[in-house]
Amino acid sequence: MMPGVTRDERVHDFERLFREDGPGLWRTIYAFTGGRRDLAEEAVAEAFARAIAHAGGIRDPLPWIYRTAFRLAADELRRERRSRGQATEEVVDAPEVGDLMKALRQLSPNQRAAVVLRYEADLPIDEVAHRMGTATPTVRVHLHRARKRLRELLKDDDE
Amino acid sequence: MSDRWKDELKKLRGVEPPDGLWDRAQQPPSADRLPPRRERIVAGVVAMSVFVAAGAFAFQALRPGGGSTVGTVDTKTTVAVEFFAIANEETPRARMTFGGKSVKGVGTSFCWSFEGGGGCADTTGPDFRDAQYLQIPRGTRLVITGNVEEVVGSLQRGTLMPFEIVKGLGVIDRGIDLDFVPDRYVLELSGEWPDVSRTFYFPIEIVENGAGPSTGVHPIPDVAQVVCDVDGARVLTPVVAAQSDGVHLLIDNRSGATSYELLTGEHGTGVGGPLKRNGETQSGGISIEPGEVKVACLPATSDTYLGQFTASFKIEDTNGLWTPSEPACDGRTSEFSTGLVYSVPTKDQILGSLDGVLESDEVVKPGYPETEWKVINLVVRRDGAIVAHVWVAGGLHLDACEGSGIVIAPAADAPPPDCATADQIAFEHTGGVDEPAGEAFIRVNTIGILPSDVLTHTSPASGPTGDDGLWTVARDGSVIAWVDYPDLNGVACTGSGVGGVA
Repeated sequence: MMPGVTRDERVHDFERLFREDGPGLWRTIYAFTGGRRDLAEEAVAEAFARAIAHAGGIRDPLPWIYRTAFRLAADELRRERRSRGQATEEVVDAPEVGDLMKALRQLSPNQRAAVVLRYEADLPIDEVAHRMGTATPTVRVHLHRARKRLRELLKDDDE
Repeated sequence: MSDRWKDELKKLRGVEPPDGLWDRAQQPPSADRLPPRRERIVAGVVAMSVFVAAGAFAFQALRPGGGSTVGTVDTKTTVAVEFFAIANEETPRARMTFGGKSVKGVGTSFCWSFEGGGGCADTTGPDFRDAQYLQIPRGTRLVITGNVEEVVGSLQRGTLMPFEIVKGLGVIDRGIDLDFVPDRYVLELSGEWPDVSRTFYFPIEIVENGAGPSTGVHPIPDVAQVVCDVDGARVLTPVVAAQSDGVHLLIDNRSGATSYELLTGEHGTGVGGPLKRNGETQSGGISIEPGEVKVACLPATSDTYLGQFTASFKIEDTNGLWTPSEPACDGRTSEFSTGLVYSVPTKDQILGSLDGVLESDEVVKPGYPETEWKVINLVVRRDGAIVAHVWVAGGLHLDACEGSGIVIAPAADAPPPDCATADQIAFEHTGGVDEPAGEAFIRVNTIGILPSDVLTHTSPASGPTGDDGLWTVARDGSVIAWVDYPDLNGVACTGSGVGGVA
């Protein structure tokens, strides 16, 4: 625990962080997983839980939580892929984002995450890279490919 | 991104996370993977598992390569990066091979798509604090092999993520020349296969040609490369070749330094200049003698240099370009004269002001052949040794070996202007001339001379008309200017208006 910081104070900080950034993180992971509400819920909750448990060693909690949530969700997707054939929770999209999620599923997870962070959360590219734990040129590549694929999907060339 | 898609994405804001998420986040964390749904167990080994994962990347041992070729690539002279993702194998991999050594890329962001869905396996970021860097000579070609469809690269710097982006390399089709300033880097290469993408990081060290595996090109670098960081100056090129216009220097300033200083010898020449903050400063044509040169990165121009010289490099002058200015003798005579009226004298005018220079003497500029001097500067070389150094700065200076017979010629046969030296300003004639000869020529073509001014030819008669040499301009009984005929250059007292001297 950091000197001079009580656990209660840290929890209070994380509560504020959750209140301000938790919904955005959840939506990002929701998109990242292709609309898996269950995975998004578990990954976000677990990421915050780990951040609270290791608060003294985390300098910048929000990007740390983002990266942890990405990793947890990705691990779970991979685990499910290994055991493909087992029943997984059926994806039921919210009606208002049905078309969007259908299109986003045609992108790779990293492309989805980059698109959501950049265009839904309006983050600058370097911040997107920071939260995804990658470099800005890589994010630009993800975004470029995502835009290209989305244009192809809907023949949407009014960029 | 089109407005339509942006609008679609904004709809995500209408999707709310489930209730009770915060309550669940406050429960103890699970192990390294997500817990079974709706369950959560205490996991005290999370941090340990993260450290183990990070540690796996900390030691990237270089291993002997499997041979001197990768496919058709000769890895003695070319860096080969193999990218492979095999169908139904979920882990794409990449390996870099060069000079008989091979290193695996540290992969992150391993993603795939399948059946309209997909997945992604992230790992902890690469940790290159204890990495062994693959040494690659500057300019070496890197080529991509394997079954990858496309590779995008960037050059980065650092040991832990997020790395500092040095340069985006874009899409690497056939390959790329690694022509980067020698230093340690992280090369990020992101491979794209039909259903998978993965990014790899390679710790590499670009070295000057000749410092690493030999390519037989440019044994000594042409540019001295220095890094200013928190520990002061650091040299990337221990030896640099002198060029015909001097020494070339490239300083990468990563600190708060505002200037640099070069110093030769214990009490040698000091040369310096300003530095760009957080960027590269390039200096060419530095006239500094061959040998060991100390380097300092100075936090402020007013700071003392003591203790700041933390690195050094050696200037090699294998082609004998450098001409010293110091006479090569112990006993010397030094003279100074204000008798030279030319502010920018020619070589012949300087020699005309000296006695004792032999026809067999060689008179050359000191320093490097193409050094640009702000001060007129010549040396006299006799039998291969410098015997005199003469330069113009407020007058004519001469350092000559005793016994050389070289001295400044007797003072000009005219008194100096009747004003303090500080008030004397040299002027040069510009523009055309009209053609009456002698005094009339000077009066017509030199601005500021009044009809009442008295002009007197003080030099012995010489030249076609006997008027060559120095003329004084007197006003109200005082000499206010000298003018040289026929060049019309001279020295005038401030405020006289002669020659435009206001």
